[in-house]
Amino acid sequence: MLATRYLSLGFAFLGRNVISFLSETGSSLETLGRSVRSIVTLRCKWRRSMDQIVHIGVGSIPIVTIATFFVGMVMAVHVSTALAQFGVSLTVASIVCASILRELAPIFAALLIAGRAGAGITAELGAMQISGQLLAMRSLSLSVEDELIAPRFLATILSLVSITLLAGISGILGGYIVGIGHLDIPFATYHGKTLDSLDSLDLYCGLFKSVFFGLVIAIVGCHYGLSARGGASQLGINTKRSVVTASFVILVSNFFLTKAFIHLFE
Amino acid sequence: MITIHDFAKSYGDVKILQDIELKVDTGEALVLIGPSGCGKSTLLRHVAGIEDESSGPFSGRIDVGDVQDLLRWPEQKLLHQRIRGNRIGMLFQEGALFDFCNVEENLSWPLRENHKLSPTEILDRIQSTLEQVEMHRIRGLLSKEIRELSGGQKRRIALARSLLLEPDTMLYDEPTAGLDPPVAMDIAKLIRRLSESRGLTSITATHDMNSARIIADRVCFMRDGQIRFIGRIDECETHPEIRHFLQGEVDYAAQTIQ
Ligand SMILES: Nc1ncnc2c1ncn2[C@@H]1O[C@H](COP(=O)(O)OP(=O)(O)OP(=O)(O)O)[C@@H](O)[C@H]1O
Ligand SMILES: [Mg+2]
Repeated sequence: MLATRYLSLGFAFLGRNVISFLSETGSSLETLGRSVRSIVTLRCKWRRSMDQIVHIGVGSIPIVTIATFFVGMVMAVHVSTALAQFGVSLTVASIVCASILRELAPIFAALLIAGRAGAGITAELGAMQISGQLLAMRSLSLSVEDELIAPRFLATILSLVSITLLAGISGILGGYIVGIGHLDIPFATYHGKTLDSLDSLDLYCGLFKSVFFGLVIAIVGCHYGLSARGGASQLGINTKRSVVTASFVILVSNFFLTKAFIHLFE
Repeated sequence: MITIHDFAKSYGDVKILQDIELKVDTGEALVLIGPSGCGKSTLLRHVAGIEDESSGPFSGRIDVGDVQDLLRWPEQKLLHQRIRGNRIGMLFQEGALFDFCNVEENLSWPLRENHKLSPTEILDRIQSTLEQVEMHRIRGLLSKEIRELSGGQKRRIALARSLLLEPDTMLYDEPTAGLDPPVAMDIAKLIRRLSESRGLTSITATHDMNSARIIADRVCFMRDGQIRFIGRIDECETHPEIRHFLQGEVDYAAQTIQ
C-alpha cells in the first residue's frame, strides 16, 4: 500500500518535471538551434568554452572516476558469483569490459555530470537572469548565445565524452582489482581476456551515448536557467528540476539507444 | 532625439503602459517620476531595445536618433549593427554588474567585443572613463571583485561600463535609489555633468526629487501607465497630482488601468 503510494507520488513528481520541460520544448529547441548556429558559424567564444571545460570537466574527474572504479568492482563481484556455478569465471573480464564501456561508464558519468555541472549551469544562468545581468548583456550588444550558451554546450559535450572515456578505463581497472585480487585470476590471463574482448564498437556506442547525454544536460540546464523568474526560491526549484529532468531523460533514452545499437549492429 | 509615439505595452493580460507620447530633444535630460510600479523601468527597457514581444505584446513606435522604429528591428540586426550599448546605453536599477568576474573584466568585456582595440587602448579608455566617474583614485580597483564594492561604487562602475561604449543616448533607471543622500547627490551631479560634457540625450527614471532637480531639463510625471504631466521642474511642483505624490499621498489602492 505504502509502496504504491510512494511510487505514484514519485511518478507524479517526475511527470510534472518532464511535462513542464516538454511543454516548453519549443523554446528549448530554439536555444539548441541558436547555440548550434553560434558554434557552426564560429561565433562561439572559445576562451569562455575553455573556462567552462575546466569548470565542468576537470572538477568532475575525481568523483566520476572513483565512482566508476567501484562500479567496475561491483560488476566483477556479481558476474563472478553468477558465473561460478557454471565454472566459467574467466569470462568476467569480457563481460565487465563490454558492460562498462557500453552502459555503465556513459550512464554514471552522465548522471554525475547532470548533478554537478547541469545544476551548476542552471544556477549560474538563472542567477544572471534574475539579477538582470542577461538584460545588461543585451544592452551592451553582448550576445548571450555566443558568450554563455554555446560555450556551455560545447564544454558539456566535450567534457562528458572525455570523462566517459576515463570512467570506462577506471571501471575496467576496478574489474582487474576484483578479478586478480579476489578471484585469483592471474594478471596475464585477465589482461589477455580484457584485450581480446575490447571492441571498438562498444567504445563507439558508449561515446555516441555520451555525446547525446551531454546535449541533454546542456539543453535542460540552459533551459531551466534562462527561464528562471522571480527570486532565489524559484532558482532553487529550477535547479532541482534541471537535475531531475536531465537524469530522467538520460535513463529513459539510454534504453532506447541501447536497443537501437543492438538492432543496427548485431 | 528620442520620439515615442502612441506606445502601449502589456504583460500577459495586464496593460502596463498606454498612450505614451514623449519627445526628448537631442542633448536634453528628461526625468521620469512616478509611483512604484507605474511602468518607468518597463518604458526604459523598451527604449533601450532589450525587450521583445516574448514578455508581452506592445504597439506604437519608438525612434532613437536615426534608429527609426526600434521596436520593429529584429534581434540579429540590432546585434550586428551594435545599436545597443554603442548608440543607446542603459544604467540598470541595481547596476547589474557581472558578478562572475572582476571590475576590469566588467569594463573591458563589452569594449573588447564591440571594438577592435589593443589591450593598452582598452586600458587607456578604462582609465579615462574611471576618471570621469571619479573612481580613478581607488587603489587596486580593477582587480576587485564586484561583491567588494559599495552600492555607490557599483553604480559608478556600472555607469562607466555603459559610458565606455560612448552612446549618445543614455537611459538611467533609478540611478540614486538605495544610496545615502550625499552619495545620491554626487551621482546626480555626475549625471548632469555627463549630460553637458558629452551632450547626451537622456531619460532618468527616479523617485528622488532632489536628484531630479539637479538632472532635469524637463520632468515627466507618470501614473498608472500613463503620462500625466510634462514640463519644467518648478511647474511640476505646483501640479496638484504631483504634489500629492511627493507628499506621500498616492492612493495605491485605486491604481488600476484598463
Ligand atoms: N516581466 C514582467 N512580467 C510581468 N509583469 C511585469 C514584468 N516586469 C514588470 N512587470 C509589472 O509591470 C509593472 C511596472 O513595472 P516597472 O518595473 O516598469 O515599474 P517602475 O515604475 O519601474 O517601478 P519602480 O519604481 O518600483 O522601479 C509592475 O506592476 C510590475 O509588476
Ligand atoms: Mg523601476
